[in-house]
Parts: sequence; structure tokens; C-alpha cells
Amino acid sequence: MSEKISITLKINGAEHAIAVEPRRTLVDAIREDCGQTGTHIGCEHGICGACTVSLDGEPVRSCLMFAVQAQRDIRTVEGLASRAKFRSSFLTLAAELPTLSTARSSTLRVTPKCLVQYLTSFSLTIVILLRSGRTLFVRLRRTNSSIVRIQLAAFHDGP
Amino acid sequence: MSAVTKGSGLVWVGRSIRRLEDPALLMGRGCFTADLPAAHRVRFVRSPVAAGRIAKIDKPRNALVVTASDLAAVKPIAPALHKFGYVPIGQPVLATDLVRFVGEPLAAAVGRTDAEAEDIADRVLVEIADVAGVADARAALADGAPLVHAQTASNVIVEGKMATPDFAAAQARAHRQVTIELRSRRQNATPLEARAGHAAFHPASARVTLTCTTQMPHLTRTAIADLIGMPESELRVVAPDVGGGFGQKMSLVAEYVVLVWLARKLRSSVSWTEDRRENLIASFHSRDQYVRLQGSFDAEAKIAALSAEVIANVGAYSCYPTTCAVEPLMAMAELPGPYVVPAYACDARGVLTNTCPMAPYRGVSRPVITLAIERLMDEAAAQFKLEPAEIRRRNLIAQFPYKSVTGLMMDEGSYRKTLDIAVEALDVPRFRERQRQARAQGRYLGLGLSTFSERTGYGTPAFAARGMGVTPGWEIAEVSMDPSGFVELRIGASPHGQGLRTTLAQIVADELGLAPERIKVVHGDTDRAPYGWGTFASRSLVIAGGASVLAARKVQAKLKNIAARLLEAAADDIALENGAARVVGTDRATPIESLARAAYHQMHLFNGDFEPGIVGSAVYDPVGTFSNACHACVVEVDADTGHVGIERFIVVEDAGRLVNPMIADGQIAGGVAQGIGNALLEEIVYDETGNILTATLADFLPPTIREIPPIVLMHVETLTETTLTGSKGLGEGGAIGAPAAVLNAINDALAPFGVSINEMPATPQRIRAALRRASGKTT
Repeated sequence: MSEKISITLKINGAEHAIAVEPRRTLVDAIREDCGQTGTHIGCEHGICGACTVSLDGEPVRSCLMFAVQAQRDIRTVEGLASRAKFRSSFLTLAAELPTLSTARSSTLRVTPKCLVQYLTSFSLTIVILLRSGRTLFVRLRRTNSSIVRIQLAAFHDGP
Repeated sequence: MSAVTKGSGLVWVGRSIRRLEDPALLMGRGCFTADLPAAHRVRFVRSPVAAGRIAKIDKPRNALVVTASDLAAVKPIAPALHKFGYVPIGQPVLATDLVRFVGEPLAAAVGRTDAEAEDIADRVLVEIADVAGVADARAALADGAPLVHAQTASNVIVEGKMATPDFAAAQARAHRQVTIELRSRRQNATPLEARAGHAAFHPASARVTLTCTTQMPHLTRTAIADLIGMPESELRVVAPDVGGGFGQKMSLVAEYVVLVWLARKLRSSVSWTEDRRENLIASFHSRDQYVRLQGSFDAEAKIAALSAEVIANVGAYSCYPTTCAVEPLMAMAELPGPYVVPAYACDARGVLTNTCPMAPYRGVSRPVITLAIERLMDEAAAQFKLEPAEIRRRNLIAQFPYKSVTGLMMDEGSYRKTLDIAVEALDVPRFRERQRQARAQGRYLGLGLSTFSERTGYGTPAFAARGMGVTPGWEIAEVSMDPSGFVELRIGASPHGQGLRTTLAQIVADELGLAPERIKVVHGDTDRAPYGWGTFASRSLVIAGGASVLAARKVQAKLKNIAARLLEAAADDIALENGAARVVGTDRATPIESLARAAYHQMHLFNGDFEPGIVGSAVYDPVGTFSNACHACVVEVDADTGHVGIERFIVVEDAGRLVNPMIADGQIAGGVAQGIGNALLEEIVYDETGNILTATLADFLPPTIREIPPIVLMHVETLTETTLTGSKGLGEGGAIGAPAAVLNAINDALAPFGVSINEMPATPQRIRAALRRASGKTT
């Protein structure tokens, strides 16, 4: 198993020419051979998702792939972050959340369609925590008057 | 206690500022143990059998493999407990002659890469002669059960037993007896980052730096130095970014001892990164208990007496420093929970088996005992034909301070108020109507409540009362300001996701009139932080926070004295606010950094009245405080499939003053998610020979975001007098309360079938089996 193969991994736009054993998983190559340790290993059997990277724009489990299969455009968390630069944009909308009228804060699970339905008259800050498929996970916090601020604190692509 | 942080005028405490630790973590720039390069990688060869005698270990040629014979000078891990008949047992860091659980480390294979180390480990041939073992705690109690350790007379390693003098009479007088038999299956805390260690020898100093995923860096240093027989000064322990601990990273890890030993032998760096299989089978487990609870109620449905029998399966060894007695003894001490219990009897045993050792996991015994007493209350409510909320209202403690039947002093809480808020939010009458209509359509909705108290932030006396050989409790905080006016807060607590770098900065910011961004919290490094106990038992915000306040006040006093000289005013007239020292009621002010500069570079101004520099350190060791909460949830149970869907989950929590409500919410929501996992999904399964059947995350099922419902969080803030900041701990509460709320809701939903589900996790299989039994069907 020790015969190494020369490959080039393109991670966040930078090319890494490395020599790996055929059995080397993509996540090990990203972390160990390319020094990009932002991608983590959680279970090594494709359940936990900690090792997820973007390969040609598609999310893949980098623990379930060999490095030699991945000579494509790879984006890792480091690449997402450098684009995001923690930009926030604010939208001011109205919202109605009847079940939350007494709540100081809450975590809700809503689809984008639901989110629109919620928008009317309560005073809440909505922080989008993460997106999973068509579901947004947002945090709501009551602020002052009858406005909802939807704070898009998630990472954005591009400027 | 001092009112400085109690009153108004708090600028930063109470605000949901963003976590100062997050930018690096969110951008993939954290530094975790497994990120460090090492010259050598270690793979542990582990026992494939639950009980056996090692006949032979054949090491491959031309490879470095270390076994117990190489480590003859290293002492076994043998924590002490001086009470409750505890029998001290030892765990060799690598198995010597006997193996006692599947996964026990036998040998360490060393390679240049993980893959090479695994190849070498595969070539290690181990011959083990089977001996009789036992995996289940009840089986281990049976006559003639094989002994896990020869030096114990039976497999009972510890037994807590108590009865109040009036117990028998109180029980005999009671109007009604209600009994619950409960089974909590074994669980694994499952931090996303499994355990990892990296030991590096430094030739110039002959010291070793152990970087590892620990919640207790200082005690790890002490313990490893003791076991290896090296001066503590030659070992530095660093806890870098740690990806969750939940208690699993609190206890001493045998593998880390091997790493330090190897680094010294090789005079190089070695690392081990635990894989998920190892974590599931060989880290630490918890919550494997049988509880039998009998409540004796008077005619008004008030508890007259409570008796409990607890059998905790503690596995094959005893964890350091708490010992394996922590589950049974905490169950005994805290089972009465938030209720007035006048008479009490308990027998709580810790039982050795040939399974992975037990160690603390978020909540320790309390998720199980809360489940037990909350099931009891619901069962009693049904028998008295009361709403679950009503029987709780009649029994909850309302007068404070309250001395519990087990001697715990409970400070003021909001037990009834949190219940009332939760019940109002649920709108019970409306729910009952909806439940009735749904049942008519063959849909089964249920409502579950869970009220509990959570003992947090307890200091030295509480641990001493347990008789522990190592008695944690206090914390030291050191505050220093550098000449540029930036502050470093060094603490012995060791946060690993709790947000203390932010919350402690908020606390100190208010004492010094600075923005939190100017306060850097340093922790998790025995060379940089004062000796301390680490982060566990919902203690750090209370204890490290209190120490930080006291240390910051010393710095505050010094700053005021210097400002008084520079501004020609009395120190009492100086206020520190918005980064400046100001003479109250005037416009005379100077930036705080000018005071810092003077304290280091202009000491001639002060005629020797002060020592140079700005530093303050302090110790805090509180008595402890009880937070409390009510969890309420609504579920729908599919009677055909046994699937449980959680529709609503409400938490009304009282943890005193919230330093950062957003961080508090995150702690509670995370705990609730773990509690829901415990209630519905997570189960470590052993077969009767002690072989473990749940070695992947496809078998052991932590909840995913799909299973976690919206969680509505509400807070009541009872500002306790027992802590310096008015805050109570809350790290474990979410996990403590959630399982009981879920199980009570399931039982409420299934009430028409006359079944009781008193086992967690309440898997679809168990629910289906109970429904089949109730309907008399066999398939």
C-alpha cells in the first residue's frame, strides 16, 4: 500500500501538488498533505458530516472519497470564510409569531415559505443559523417594537 | 454579598454579545489537537473480548509496539473514595494479565503515519484465554456471578444507603403507594471531536507538552506525573480548542499516559486521534441504570415518603478523579429533586461489569433520576385523577432556603413559577380538547412535563462530603493589565464550547469599565493559567466567574488609586467607565491605558506607595446553588409504527442572572437536543457475552437536526444570594430535564392503551412491543 501517486488538489483556488497512497482519503489529504485543518473528521463513515467539502459545487463527504478521485475544484470552510468576511445584511420586515408572543427568545425551524408567513407584527431579531436543504434554522430574539429584523449572518457567496 | 454586580449599572453583563471565540471557529481557523503534526502516530491494539487472560502478545519485527511489560514502572489509575464501602481498584494503562472489557487497550503500535500505525497494529497477534464475564448489572449481582475484580467480595464496588428515622412510619401512614420501575439504557456522550492526544518532548528543557482534548488540564498533569513518576514541572498540559466534552473528557485517559511515556522514550512527538469506533466502545459510557422508586402519598397527593433502589452499571474500572461512585451516589443525594420529601430511604449500588467504564456525562445521574421521579409524579397524578401540573404544584418546594432530606441546602428558586409559565404557554385545556379530538381520529398526542432542580457551582465542601480522594471545588482567577491597557484573565477552568471567553470578559468588562474585546481570557494551558479544576458540573461561570470578579476588583482598586493620584481626587470618587477613569460629577478623566502606562513606566510619580504593575488574583469557593427549570413537550406517537414526533418543546429556565442570554440559550438548546437523543434514540448495546453491538453512528444514533423540534426558551431570573454574580450554573439542565418531558408525553399519548413506557430510549421497537403486549397480540 505504500506506493504513492502524484496528484494535484485544487483547494480554495490554490493548487497542491502532493503524493499520496491510493488508500489516502480526501479528508486526510486535505488535512495532512495540504495543511488545511479547517475540515474536520468526525466519524469516518459518512454519518456525521463534519468532513463535508464542496466538490465542483456539490457537497461531499471527504471521508468517503479517496484523494486520487478528487482532482477537481474543492472548497473547504476556509474558502467559504474568506469570501464571507462576516458580512451581514439587514432586512426590515414585519412578522407574526403567535406562539412566541411570550417568549424572550426561541429557536424555530422554518421553511422559506413559512418564514414569509411569519412576517408581520412582532419585534424579533432573526439570525439565520444554518441552511439544510430547503430549511433555514433561525434564531429569533425580541427587540423593541413592531418590526422584525432578519439578520443574514450566514456566509454569503461573493461580494 | 457585595452588590456591585447585583444592581443596575451593568453595561456588558446581561447582553447577548456575539461570542468572541466564534470568528476563528466559524472560519475553520481553530486549533484542535488533531491539527498538530507529529513525528509518530499511535494506534492502540484493543481487547476483542469482554473478559480474558492474556496468554501472549506477539509483536511484529522491525516495528515499535509497546505493551504493559514496557510500562512496568507506570502505576495503574486508581482513584480514591473514602466512604460508602468503596473498594479501590486499579486500571493498568495497558492491560497486564487480564482484560475486562471489549476495547480495553492492550498495546500501542507506533508508525510514522496513522495508516502505518494501523498496519503495524494489525500485525500484533494477541492470544487471550476466555474467562467468564458479565455485562448486565443485575446479572453481575446474582449469586455466583463472575467477579470483574478479584479484590471485591461481590461486584458491588460502592453502596450508598440511607433511611431517615421516620421513614417506615411515614410510609406506613400513607394513603397510596405508587411504584415505578425504570430502566435507563447505556449511553455515550458522543462529542463531535473524539478524544485525541499529542505529546511532544522538548530536548532543550527535557519537558513534555501534552496537548489533549481534556476538560481538566491541571489535574491531567498531576495524574500523569503521579502515574509515570515524573515531576509535574516537567509536564505541560494544553487543552487547545476542544470540540465538546460533556464530561467524557473530564476523566483521565489511559491512552494519554502512554503518549507522554512514549514522547519521553522516543524524545520526539507522538499523537493519537481516537476514531469513532474507539470512542463508542472504549471511551466512557454512562446512564446504565435500573431505578425502582416507590412514592407514598397522603390523601392530598403530597409525598409523605419516598424510597429508591438504584443499580448503576459502572463498567470495568473506576474513572479518575470522580470514581465510578459518582452515578449511584449522585442518584442517592439528589433523587428527591425539586419536591418536598419529608421521609426518604435509598439504596444505591455501583456494580462492576465487563463493559466500558462509566464516567460523568452531562447531568450525570440526574437525567435518569429526574425521569424516575417525574414518571412517578405522572403515575400518581393519574391515580389521583389530577392534571400532572397540579400534583407538581402541590409537591414543589416553595419555601427557601430549603434543607433537603439528604442534607442539601437549596437556595431560592422559582419552581412553581417556571411550571406555571410553561403550563400557560402550553394552554393545557386547549391541548386536552385537541388531544381528545385527535384520539377520535386514531391519532395519539401527548403532553409531558418535567420539573427539576439542578445543583450547580458547588465548591470544595460538596465534593469533600462525597469522600473523594481528590476534592475539587475552588477556582483561582488572575487578572493583569499590560502597559497598553489590555487585560488578560487567566483561569484554571477549561471551557470547551461554553463561551466563557465571552461571558467572563463581559463580567470583567463591567468591573473595569472596558469593552469585552479588550479582555483576553487565557485558559487550558498549565504553563499559562493558575492551577484549577477545569470545566464540568455546571460550575465555571459561577466559580471562575466569581473568582474573576474578585480578582478584577483588586485591579479596579489599583486603577482607581492610580487615577486618584493622576487626577488629584479621592479614589472613592473615581469611576471606571467606557475605557476611562473619571472623577464622578466632573469632566476630569483619563483613559485607562494612561493608568496602565503609569503603573509600569511612571512609578516615580507614586513615591513608592504602590507596587509596579497591575495584577490581581483571587480565589472563589462557593457553597453551591440550585438552578431550576420546567420542560414541557407535546408529542405525537404513531401507534402503528411506534414513531415519536415532537411537536413542541418549551423550556422555562431559571439560572439566576444571565450574563449572556444568547449563550445561555445555546447551552440549554444543546442540552435539550442531547436529552431528546437520550430519550428516543441513543443506546449502547452489549450482547450477553459483553460484545458491543453499537460501534458506529449508524447503530448508535445521536439526534440530527431532523429530530430536534423548535425549542421555545424562556427565562426567569432569581438572583441568588449564594453566588457573587447572582448567576447559577445551567450547563447540564437541558440534558437533565428533556428525557422526562419526552417520556411523560409518550405515556400521556398512549394512555388509551393502558401501557407504561418506563425505559429509555423509547425506541419505536419498545413502543410497538408495549402496544402489542397491551393488545394481547404476539406479533
